[in-house]
Amino acid sequence: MHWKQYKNLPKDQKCDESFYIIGLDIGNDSSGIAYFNMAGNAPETIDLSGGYGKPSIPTVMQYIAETKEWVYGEYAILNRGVGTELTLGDLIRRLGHSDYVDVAHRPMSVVSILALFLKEILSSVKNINPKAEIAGIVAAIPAYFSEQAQAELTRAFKAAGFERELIALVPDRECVFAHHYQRNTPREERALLFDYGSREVRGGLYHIMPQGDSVAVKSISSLFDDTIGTHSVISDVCDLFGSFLLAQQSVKQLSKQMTEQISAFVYQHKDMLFQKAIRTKAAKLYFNFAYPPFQQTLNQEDAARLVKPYHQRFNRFMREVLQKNLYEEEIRPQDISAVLCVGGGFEMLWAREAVGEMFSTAQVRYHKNAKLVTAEGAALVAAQRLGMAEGPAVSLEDKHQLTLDIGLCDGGQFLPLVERNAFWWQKHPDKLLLVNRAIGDPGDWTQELEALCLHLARRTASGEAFPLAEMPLPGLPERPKGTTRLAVGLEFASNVDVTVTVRDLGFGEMFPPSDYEEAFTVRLE
Amino acid sequence: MTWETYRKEIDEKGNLPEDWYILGIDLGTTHSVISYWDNTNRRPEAIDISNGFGKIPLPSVVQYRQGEDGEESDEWVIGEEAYRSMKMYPETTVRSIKRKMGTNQRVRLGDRDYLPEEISAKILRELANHAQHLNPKAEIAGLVVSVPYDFDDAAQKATMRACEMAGLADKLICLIKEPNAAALAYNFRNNLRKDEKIMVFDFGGGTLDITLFHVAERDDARIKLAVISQGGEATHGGDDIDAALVEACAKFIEAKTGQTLQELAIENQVELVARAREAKERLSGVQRFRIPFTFCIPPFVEQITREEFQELISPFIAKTRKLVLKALRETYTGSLTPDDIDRVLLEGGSSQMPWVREMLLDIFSDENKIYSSERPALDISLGATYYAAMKMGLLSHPDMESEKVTVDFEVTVPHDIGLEIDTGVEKKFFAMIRRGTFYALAKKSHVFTLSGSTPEEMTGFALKILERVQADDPYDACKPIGEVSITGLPERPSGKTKLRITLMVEEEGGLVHGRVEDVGFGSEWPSAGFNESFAPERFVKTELRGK
Repeated sequence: MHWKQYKNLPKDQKCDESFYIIGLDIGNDSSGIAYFNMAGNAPETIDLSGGYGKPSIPTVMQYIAETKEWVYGEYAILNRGVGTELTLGDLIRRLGHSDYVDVAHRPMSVVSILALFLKEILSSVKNINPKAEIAGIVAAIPAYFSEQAQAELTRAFKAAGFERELIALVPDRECVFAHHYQRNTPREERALLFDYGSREVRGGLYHIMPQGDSVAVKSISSLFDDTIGTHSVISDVCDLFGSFLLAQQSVKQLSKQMTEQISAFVYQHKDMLFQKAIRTKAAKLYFNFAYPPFQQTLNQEDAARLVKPYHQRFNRFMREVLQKNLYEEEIRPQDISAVLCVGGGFEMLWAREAVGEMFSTAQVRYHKNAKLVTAEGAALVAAQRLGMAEGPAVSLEDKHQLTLDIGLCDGGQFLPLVERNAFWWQKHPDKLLLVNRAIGDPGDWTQELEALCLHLARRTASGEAFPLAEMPLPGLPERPKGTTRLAVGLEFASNVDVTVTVRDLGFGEMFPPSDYEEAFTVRLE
Repeated sequence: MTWETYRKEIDEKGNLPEDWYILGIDLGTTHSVISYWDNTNRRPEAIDISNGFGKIPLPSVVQYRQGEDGEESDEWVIGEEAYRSMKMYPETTVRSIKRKMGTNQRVRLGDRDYLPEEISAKILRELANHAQHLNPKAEIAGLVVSVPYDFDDAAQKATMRACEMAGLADKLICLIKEPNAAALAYNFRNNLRKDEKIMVFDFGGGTLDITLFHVAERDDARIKLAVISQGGEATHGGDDIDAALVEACAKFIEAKTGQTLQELAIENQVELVARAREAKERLSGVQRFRIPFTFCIPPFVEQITREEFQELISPFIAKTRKLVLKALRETYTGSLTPDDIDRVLLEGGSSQMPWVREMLLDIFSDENKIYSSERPALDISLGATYYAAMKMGLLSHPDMESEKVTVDFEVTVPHDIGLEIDTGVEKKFFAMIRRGTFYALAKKSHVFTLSGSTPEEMTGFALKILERVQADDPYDACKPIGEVSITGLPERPSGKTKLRITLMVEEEGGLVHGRVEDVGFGSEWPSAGFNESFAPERFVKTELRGK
């Protein structure tokens, strides 16, 4: 079965309870799975925690060399520091880089590790219904996902036993809006979407325009801040808890095992610091894994001290999302009518309060489980595409996101400087260019006389390249063939203007870097 | 306002006002869950008790902290924090109170003794407070609380008293049996077929409920689920597995430190319970787990494999297997074989342990029959909420596809209800209402003739109402529902007083009521008009006095 076949089935057959339409949110930090319940016409999450009532699980795989066993999710987190285990996280971030990890002295690709994780969480569908047949999967992908990362994710699905024909990768924002507008009638308004994730907080301002049976969601502003993700917060909590342990044990440094145990302990107890209860009474933490075990009290001031810098930066970030908009228009908090908050970070009370305080006149919407909105939205989008769910289809228009590659073109070759789906506000690393020709006097080492000229081009999705600008580089230091190394950087000045910089990197000790630098401003339109 | 008044107003308004909350509570042995009826989406939603950290259930742990120097007053801590800090308050932390419901085993906390229902009331209040935190203007309009199938009359009454103590008495619509609630929640998410026979294997921290449902009717407008067998055991749950592990751990400790379990300090005994539970939980995900005994001197670590763990609890597994087979054997419609069952639905947190599936697979020999709930920890509470919404008249909305179907529960009385008969030679259980009787028919009368040799014996007697939980329980194993002392009957010769004794079980709450009526003896001894009703209670003797 693949999903085109399912789509063509008669409606009554499509409603068979053995068919499952799946939505997945494979986050870097945690993952969730939902299916579209055709009887209830709504997405339902599946508990992945083994019966403990936690529907999302950490996106973590762990290899226990002793038993040659792979463990996933929460079991892997809690098992840290117990023995000789190797815990592998950050799997989604690593996609797109052909990354390998050393597992028991054998290189193993991130794709194959992720495939193990996908296999585990998708097996939960067979667990709830042994006759289950998956009719289609929508996997929500983050905005920063490159095409290479998408290709690797698709490969991971394939390695987990799910064919390409079954999978659709859909931007996570589209899933969130679909989820929202299934329950709320769309109206023309300005809406904000904050996604408080593990590595960063993403924020976007959108102009919502209902269009018949669909709703157009046009991005006006889009930013991220990678200094305030929950990962940073948790890391600070680990440091704090680690300092308690250091003080108790009178040692200067924690062992690797202790650090792992602290990390598992923080995972279990972090909620005490960020919830309402600590405001009325101090939390007592019992470090039962330590020897000797000890108790530590944390009060409201401790929690507030920890949170304060994040609170301040998050406030600044929210203001910037309004200010740095596409039209450089002055947009005030009171101009916003709806704020959607998703992502595990909103499980921290202070983050919810910060949004509430800044957007006091808007309708601020939190999901009962902020981590699962995207998975449920993905299941809904999948069901809509398969003709099984009602609700307006969302079309996301994002002028902040590139629809083409921009790079250097030389004959038939294209070196991308910025790839499709990147955001214009993103910082892009410089690319290294090794010039395979001589620069300078032909009498000495080469035949070329003309100054080097780089050709900036745009490449469409079909692979066709169109010239954008010529960038001559007169005055480059004279060097023999193959010894000129240049760093080429591209930065967006606005969503239509780019600045290309070229710097000389030199070549070893023989040709040290010079001060040569050129900058070109190019209009993309 | 009572729930009936709210219901009337909902009928008049034609909708549920935003601030009115209809709740379903799963008051569990180890964890409790509360859900509310989301009227916008017309389905129940579990309330995240952890304040957003994703773990929805609230540990059913109540802790009393006596005010110390510098602290203002005594404090009650309920839930996750109470569980995590039980080592610090080992003597005043109460767990698994549900197992004592219906008994008068009091718990001493501080300078007072508390009845089990008083402790349960604290959990109920905490859950209700969480519901009220959803909306500062929240008003609880009605609620349904679940109880295990195996709860006897006294335990059910204690649950109702707990609701009363939590200030929820007038909002309590009724009690619902846990497996029925689970089946109800599952039904709304899945397309059950006509004539399907479903075994709900609801395995929680304290109890195992095994209920067999038959989809008696199914069309586009109606589904009728008939309960055809109920089994399991009220004291067979995850807690018993923890106890087995504690015992094994105690042996490790004794071998390493020479200390017996009894010699351990009380806080370390409590810590050991937490470690045992952790080991059980972890072994569901990993093949081996190292239990750290850091509280022992010297500290040590002991490894236990999943295989060893399953060997350790093999008597428990064997008993579970027997209970499944018994439930199949003792259906109200005749014995069933594993082949007759179309699906086995796993509910409850403990049902997710790997051995459960293996054991069921061994019985049913078909992996395609074993289904797990999408949310095994939440379904009972969600089902209780569906039931509450049904009772409040909210589940017949014609606009919603899922609500076009009305659900009828053909629920039956789970245990035999009867009287103690003293023949002078032996005491016997006389069944008046048999298990499997539909609630609608659960009203039975029997005329008894009173005989005696003294005036006292002819004008009064004691009526003992009993409950036989398992079909094969002997008289001694029957549980008392209550004792009714009857005095003031007309004085007649022996054998000339005929009394009609009626027992009935009400569907909502499953409570037993009765009536004693003097029917006279022909025209010679016409009825003296004695006609009194009673509601028996286990620990309070009811007195009926004639004029």
